[in-house]
Amino acid sequence: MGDGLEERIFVRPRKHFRRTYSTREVGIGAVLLVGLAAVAGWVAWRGAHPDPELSSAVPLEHRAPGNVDRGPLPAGLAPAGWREQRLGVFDPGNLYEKIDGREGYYKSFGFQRLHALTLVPPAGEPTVDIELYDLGSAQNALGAAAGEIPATASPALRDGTLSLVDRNTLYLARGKYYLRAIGSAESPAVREVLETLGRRFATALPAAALPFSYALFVPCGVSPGKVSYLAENAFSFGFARGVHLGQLPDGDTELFAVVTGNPAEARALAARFNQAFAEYGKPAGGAGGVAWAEDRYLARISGAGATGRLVLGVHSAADVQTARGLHEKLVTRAASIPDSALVTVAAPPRQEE
Amino acid sequence: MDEAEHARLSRRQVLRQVAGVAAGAAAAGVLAWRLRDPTGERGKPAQPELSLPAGGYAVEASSVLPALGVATGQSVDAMVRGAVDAIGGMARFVSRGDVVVIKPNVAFERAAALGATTNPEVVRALVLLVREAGAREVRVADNPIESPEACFVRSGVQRAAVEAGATVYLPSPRDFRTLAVPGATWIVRWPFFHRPFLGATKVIGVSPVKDHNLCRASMTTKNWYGLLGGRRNQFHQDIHGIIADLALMMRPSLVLLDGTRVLFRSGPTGGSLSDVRPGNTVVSSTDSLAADAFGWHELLDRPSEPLPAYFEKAAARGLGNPDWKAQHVKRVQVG
Repeated sequence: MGDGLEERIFVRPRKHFRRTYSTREVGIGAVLLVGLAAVAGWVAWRGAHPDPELSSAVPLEHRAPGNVDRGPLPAGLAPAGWREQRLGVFDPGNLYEKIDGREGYYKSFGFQRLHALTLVPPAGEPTVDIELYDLGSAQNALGAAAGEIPATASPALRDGTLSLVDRNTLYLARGKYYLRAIGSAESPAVREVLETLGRRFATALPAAALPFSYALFVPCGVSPGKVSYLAENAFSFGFARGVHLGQLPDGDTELFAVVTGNPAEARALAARFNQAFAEYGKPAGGAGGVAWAEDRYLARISGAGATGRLVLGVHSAADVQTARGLHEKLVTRAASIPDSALVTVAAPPRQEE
Repeated sequence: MDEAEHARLSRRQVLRQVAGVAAGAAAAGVLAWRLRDPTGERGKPAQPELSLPAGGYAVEASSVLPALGVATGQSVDAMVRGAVDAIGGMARFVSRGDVVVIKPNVAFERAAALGATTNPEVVRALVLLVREAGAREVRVADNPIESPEACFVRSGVQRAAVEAGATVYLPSPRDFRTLAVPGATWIVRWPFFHRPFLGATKVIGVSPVKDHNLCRASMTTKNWYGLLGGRRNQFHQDIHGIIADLALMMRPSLVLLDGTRVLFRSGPTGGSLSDVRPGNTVVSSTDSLAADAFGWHELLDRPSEPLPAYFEKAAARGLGNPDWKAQHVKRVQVG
């Protein structure tokens, strides 16, 4: 045990082994004291500045928005005489508190944040609920909108904004944002508010480049609300992944496009589509690299061809002549789309009704 | 103790002291482990586990009366009365002096016209019918997704229920107690909105007909989800399993399927009037699965699609019969 001084294990009876503290011990003690003082200070400050919601005598539905981050919501959305209420922000962790049961829909479209706000007129009714979803990309925002816009409606696509006022609801997709503004009733006053909101958000939200499928399909007669994307299993073909779709107004005919790595891949994939379509029917003639097939059950025409590194096809057209005409339109449109725009963003599957 | 004495500490003394300290530390550790309370639940006053009555609130089955009553028309009052009369009338379900809990779906802060909540006029007609049958007290209760006050006010259910003479029970944290559901998969023990059920003798569910993003349809069986507390969203991993559990948890006296409006897409929240169509129908039954299956086929109008998986799970437990077409259905056309 040497000289015994530094080897001692216990101090007894209850005496300090040393008369002084080391500099290190004093330093550690000081840090702990500062930490405790900071905690005590924070508690005292919070006590002096309590959350007014805790003691508010005003019913929840009559409270003005507090100091909640408005995020991308423009200031002063309430029309003259109206007031804003119940501003709330939700993230993936608590979205279910707002829309339990449907949060999966928005999460499948890359949900990041929801800003919700209610506009209330002087009479209290009808109200307009604003739900602004940040979905991370334009493709997601457009996909979510397309899945909720009524099947019979035709939204407008203007300056990078897809929008529609349908009865009591405004649907708007711009950049990575998808907006729904919901009137509690259908009335001229509500419609006016919705249209004003549409104009406001169309300029206030940052725009983003639209997926190439809009430039490809919309000029061919597809409504912007009917452009969609299937990440996999298009037409029930296991090999058909990353398929952009545009449904024509007849409700049956679909135009489709797939981006591949190079023209050889595109030719091979187009041949696979043609072979797969033929397995469900019989040959219906061919031209320009497209082997049209007629479905044996539905008597509808489908086929695909390669254009550069794009596969362009028509699914379920009424007849061969119509299918050929649509394919020619697609090829013409594709020629005007720069190769750099041919990007397939990882996107969610199309929502089935 | 001087240094010389200190230096004379024997090995045995040292080992004894080390052992003493180690034993003390271990005892402290064991004590801390036994006292651990990560959720804070153990720190609360102990409450006995709640059980619903054996057999639930079901009334005696009838081999004579129809299994389903289907009333169609324009008048909500007439449809509610017609549907209930078709399966024996309210006197079959409610006796004089009963305390009746009515569970509508008030999950979302939406106007009634948007179809995401039970039609308040159906709630009003039902409360009046129950009171007419002699109920001593009628309680209307739900635990909505969003703010309960806002949901009950905006949906119109609060006003309709109160005007018809019911008491509305809005949930607060102290209104929940752990309910035991033996045989359940997910809710063997789960927080339950129990306050409205204190002294209750009959339970009636009244739910809208809605498309649902997860379970494809939300009707009378899914409606009991609104009696659960806690982090209910975790059940989304097995939504059909939890609905089958709900059928096990609650054996109601009667269910009404409010098909006056049908939210046929974008459910369960809806929002657009274009997602709602008039159904002009009220369905009554003691069998939630039969009522839901009728709703699926005839109100949601999905006859060619297979029933959602919860039907099979609940039927396998003997909790109902989704094959409504094989049962006695009484249809009535009312005003």
